[in-house]
Amino acid sequence: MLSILKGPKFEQILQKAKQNWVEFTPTKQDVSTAGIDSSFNNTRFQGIELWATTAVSIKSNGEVLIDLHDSGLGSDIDLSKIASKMEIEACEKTVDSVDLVLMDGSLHSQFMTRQSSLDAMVVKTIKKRDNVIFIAKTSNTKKQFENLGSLAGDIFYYNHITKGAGFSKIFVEKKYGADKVISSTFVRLSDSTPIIKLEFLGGNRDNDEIKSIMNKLYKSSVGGYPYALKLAHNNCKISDKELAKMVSLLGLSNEIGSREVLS
Amino acid sequence: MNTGFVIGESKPTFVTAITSRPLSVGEYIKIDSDEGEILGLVEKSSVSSAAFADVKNFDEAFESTEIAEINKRDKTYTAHIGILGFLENLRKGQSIIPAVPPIPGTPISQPTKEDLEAIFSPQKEGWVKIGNLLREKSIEAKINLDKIVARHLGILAMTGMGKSNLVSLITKQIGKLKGTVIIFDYHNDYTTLNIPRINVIDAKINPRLLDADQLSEVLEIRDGANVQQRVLRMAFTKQVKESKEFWKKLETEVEFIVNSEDKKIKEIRTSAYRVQDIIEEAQRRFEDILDPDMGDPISFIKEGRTNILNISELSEKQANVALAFYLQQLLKDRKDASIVKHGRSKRERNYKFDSPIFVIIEEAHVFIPKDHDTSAKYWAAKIAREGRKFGLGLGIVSQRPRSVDLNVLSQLGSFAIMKIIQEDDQRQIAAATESTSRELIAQLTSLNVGDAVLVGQWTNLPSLVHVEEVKEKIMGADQSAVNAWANAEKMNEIAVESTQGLVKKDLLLD
Repeated sequence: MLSILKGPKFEQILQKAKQNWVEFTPTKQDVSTAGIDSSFNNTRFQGIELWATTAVSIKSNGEVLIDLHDSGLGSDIDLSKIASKMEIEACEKTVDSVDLVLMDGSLHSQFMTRQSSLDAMVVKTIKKRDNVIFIAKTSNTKKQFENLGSLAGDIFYYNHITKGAGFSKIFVEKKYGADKVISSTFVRLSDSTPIIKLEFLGGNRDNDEIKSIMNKLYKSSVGGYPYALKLAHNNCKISDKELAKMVSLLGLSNEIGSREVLS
Repeated sequence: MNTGFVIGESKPTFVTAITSRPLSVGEYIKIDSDEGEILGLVEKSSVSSAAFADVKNFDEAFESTEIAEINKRDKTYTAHIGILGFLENLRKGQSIIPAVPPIPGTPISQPTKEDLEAIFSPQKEGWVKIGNLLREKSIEAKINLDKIVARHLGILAMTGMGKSNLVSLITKQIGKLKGTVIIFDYHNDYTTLNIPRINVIDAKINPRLLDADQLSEVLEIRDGANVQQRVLRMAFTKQVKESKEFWKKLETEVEFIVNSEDKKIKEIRTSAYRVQDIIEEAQRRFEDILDPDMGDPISFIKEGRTNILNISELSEKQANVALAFYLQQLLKDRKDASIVKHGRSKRERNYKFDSPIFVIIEEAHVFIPKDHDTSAKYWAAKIAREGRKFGLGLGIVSQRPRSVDLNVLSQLGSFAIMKIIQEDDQRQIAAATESTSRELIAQLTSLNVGDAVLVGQWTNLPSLVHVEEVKEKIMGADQSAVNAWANAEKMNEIAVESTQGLVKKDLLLD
């Protein structure tokens, strides 16, 4: 399997990745950090659907800063948009309360896939204190080595060149417009942990800033991943069980077609 | 103050609670339900940490320590609580389980000292202190002596966990009340028990009082030696039993078989020779044990005393015969006493003991085994079934509950269960004590020396207790080989020194 991924220019890509990689061992810097995540779930009843969305902003110490919920009955609702909007709302309410706001996911996908109507809101929120970072555990982008004929995502090659802490040279993406420039870097916070992808709004980032951010993230990370984001994920999940509770609360338990949520 | 809340699915007998601190197993809690305050016992307690939930390696564990420290929501304290009944009723000694389970969300709190004292330290006659509650050390744990005499007691634990200390304590408490206790002391553990009103008896067997099969066992005729047993049966006549010269008469009877010219008897001549040897050997080997002139062995037991029947000199089979004999006689005596007391018989009956007796059988797995029948087992089972009617209580002590007959065990009304690791033992205990929950049984492995789970009728509620140490008990503790060797070495040196000093130099020169 690996031999397929390697391709003819594999060594050349690795060489390039090595050149891009900056070895850096972060030291813990005490800052207040909040993680933000959202989730949604739905179930259908005879042509109508019950839906619920949440967004949570939570600090590393477990303090919930923002806890947003929405739910309703309807049809063909774009739940991802509602969740995304709530996420941005939670972010907006958090930026002033903490030193660093960590959003779960990718700024790229925010600009690419979600409703463009939210973009202005996103940009405004991030720019307010310039303390918002998007963090993704996985990344499919093939930007940095595509001219060398890369087959796998960029993260794959960085994962191959080193197991130590450090970060990749900042990659700037300007295709979304002047006010939506994205700087990104792949980061490993401590030895032998998975690489994560950091994305920032704006193109004026330098290595020192990345190092400073790594120091701040390292303070409250477990296994190379910020704990606040893990907490946010765990706190905003809407399980089928919880949806079943809602069904019961709304008195829909006896409706035909509601059984499957309880199973 | 709230300690936590009932969560999840609750049942009338069992609830789960999330608490603000980790609760100890054996701790009592109060559930403030609408129907009234309910008392519960923490049977299982667990702590989980979100930060450590899916930690995969040392580094992650190390990083999580910091996270766990700053996150006040990180820890989840869960307690599984067995419901014991309404507090108000428990104060009166009644356990009434609520009909409706406590509603999830119901707050739980700590009971007050007064709440617990009313239940575990009743100021009533017959209740004596046995120790303190393990998790509430200021509360005295008392037991009801009436219940153990009336409904029997089982003390089960691994070796070295405090069984004989508990036996000594119960004995001491009964002694204070001038009650009669008989301990069948298989390992000579109690003969040095330094308490008042103690009566140590070296158990002997009067062969006249046995039947032929019992005598065969006592003389150690092999189990399969049917012909030898037949010879003994033929020889052990009424005349032998009543003869002044018991052994001589018995030997004469065997001699008669040896010399008989009867064709049928001739066939068993070889076996008769062997029986002759056995009788001769037994007189020599068991001179101190088999005493045809000792009179009634029961007469050595004194009423109102702690009677230690030292059976340590007897072989297992002999001890079994002796025990069966004593148990049979004691039951008969108590029956007769009871019949006379209630005036139900016109026939004159002699009895020795006026008041109830508590009999304790150590190493019960030897005498009341699960897998085969013994005469001691027969009589112990009979006492377990009938003893309560006649004031004869049975205490069974064993370090191998799995090997004790379940029929007898399940007749016991009360139990003290100490540290037990073997799963088979735990299963046997669970089968014998219906009131003991699986969670409580699971805690048996974690008990320390002197800790005991008390269940059954001798307490108002199942309780985890630390049993008081009996200072008057000298024997039974683990012996220190190291100290013994060191002392022996010292003694050797002293011996050498003193002998050398006695030898005159002049003599040595000569």
